[in-house]
Amino acid sequence: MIVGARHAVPLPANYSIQPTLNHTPMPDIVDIAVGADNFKTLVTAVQAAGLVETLKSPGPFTVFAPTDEAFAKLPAGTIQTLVQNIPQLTRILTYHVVAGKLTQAELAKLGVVTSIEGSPIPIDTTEGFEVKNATVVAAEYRSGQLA
Amino acid sequence: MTQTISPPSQTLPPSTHEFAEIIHRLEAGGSMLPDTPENLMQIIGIYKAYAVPMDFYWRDLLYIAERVFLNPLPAFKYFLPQEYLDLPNHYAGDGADLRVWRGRATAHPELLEFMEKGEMNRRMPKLLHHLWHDRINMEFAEECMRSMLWHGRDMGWGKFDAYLDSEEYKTNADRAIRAYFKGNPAMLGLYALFPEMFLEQVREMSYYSNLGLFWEVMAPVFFEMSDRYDEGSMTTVPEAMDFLVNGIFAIAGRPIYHHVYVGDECYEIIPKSKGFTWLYEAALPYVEAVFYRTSPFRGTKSYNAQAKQVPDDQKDFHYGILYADVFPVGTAGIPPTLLMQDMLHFLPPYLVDYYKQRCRGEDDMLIQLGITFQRSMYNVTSAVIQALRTALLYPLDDPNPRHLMANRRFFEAQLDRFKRPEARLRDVQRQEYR
Repeated sequence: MIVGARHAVPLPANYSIQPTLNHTPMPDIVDIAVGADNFKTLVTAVQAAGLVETLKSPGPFTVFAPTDEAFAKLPAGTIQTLVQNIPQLTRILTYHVVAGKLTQAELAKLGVVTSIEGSPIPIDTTEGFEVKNATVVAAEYRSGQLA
Repeated sequence: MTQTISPPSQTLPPSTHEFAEIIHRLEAGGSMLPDTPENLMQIIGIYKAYAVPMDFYWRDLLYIAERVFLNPLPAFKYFLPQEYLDLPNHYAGDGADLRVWRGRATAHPELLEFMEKGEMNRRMPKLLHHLWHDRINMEFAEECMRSMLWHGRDMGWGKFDAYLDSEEYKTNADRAIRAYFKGNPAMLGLYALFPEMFLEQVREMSYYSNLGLFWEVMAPVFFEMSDRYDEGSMTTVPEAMDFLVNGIFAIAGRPIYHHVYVGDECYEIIPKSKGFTWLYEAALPYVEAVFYRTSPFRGTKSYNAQAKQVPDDQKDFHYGILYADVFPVGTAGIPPTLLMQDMLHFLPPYLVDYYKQRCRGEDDMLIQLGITFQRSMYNVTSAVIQALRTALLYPLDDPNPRHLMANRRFFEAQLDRFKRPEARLRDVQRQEYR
């Protein structure tokens, strides 16, 4: 959940898996996330925030998607507070979304991207592939497949 | 989240920083305050003594922001109406959004008792208690608010302050000002002549709301820590720090907003829908403005700005509790002293006994508790540093040495702020500092 922003993410960051979801016309990001097994919390949060339609719009978007395991590491109450406050949840979720369809190589070249929320997201590829302080282990889901 | 974690000493060479020992302690999941039973007893006792007046501060800050608003003669702004004493805290009581404290949501019983009888322990009209200064000292809370307003421009945390300059904010404020002074041609005339002055007052009101919403969370956090200590389930300083870290994350997404009520009508000057959050728009700016920076203590010491005794840049200000020389502060009647006076009324018995046996006993209890408060705020600052490390960097038990080195650089950069001679970090390492 934290991949997106340097100064704006109230959630811890040590996620083991941070796949990048790339929007493609069919199926869309939401369908891909729903289809994958490890994004159940994210999908629930996106639905609660009413962002399904936004993410299904033409975009394209790149989403840094925290896994269920990442959400599970958050202290008790963190998700509850966010789900009770939809504008705040929406803001947190939009930290994780970048406009455009960006591959791992393109992200590495850019070095830093700006989230829809407005905060910068640094990309570090000196050793592995890190988005802010989260290590990406499964990059680029497209059409439900790991690219 | 930050449970007991073994130090990464085998992975990294020892730090060569002036505060290497403290850095190694932070890397091992500890606090800047050494883990001793005496420190734990002191900080928990003072958190409890702080939480009771804080229960008044947050209620009154919201009352001023929401109801008193631009009253040109706010003589009774510290006279909290029953409605605000009964205002349910969102993080305590049965109906809590998230129950942080097991206790009640309305005003704390010790607070209500003190408001009724005061230090004199006599029932008198409220006005007499007020004029005798036998009351909760809101001036301290307002000084903290002013620090946030004054330093807000350049702290780099959150989006709250920038929003105060937006056209949207100005439009919202204008609606509220016109509604508040409806039927008052004199004030509306002044508003037409000096619109910026009124707008600046509304900005200050927005910071009243910001700080009120911030402290609404901290009071139940401190009450719960005190209860856990009393029942024996909080036994070390790092446990106390971790409770704060977890609390910071749990409440991080709490909305920060500013609503004004004119009669029954609510004017949303900063709507909840802006998405402002407790952590980024309130807690982090608060720590920076109040713990670190504030402004030179007036009335205790003369400063010569031309001789660079006051820094050129606000970011270098260092007059917060982490740097305070508590002795002159505790004798001069300025806002931090007023907080000490407020805490004095609500000390748990074990802390009163502790102070009586040390230094000058009851005669310098304000100074002793002020230094305890300083210790306790080094622990809160440690929680903030660990929370930031968690959010921005890597776990303490990360197997990657490059990540651990990034954590160390972060800790070292944080502790660089305590290298200046005024900082009390060295002092709180010693138990004899009282």
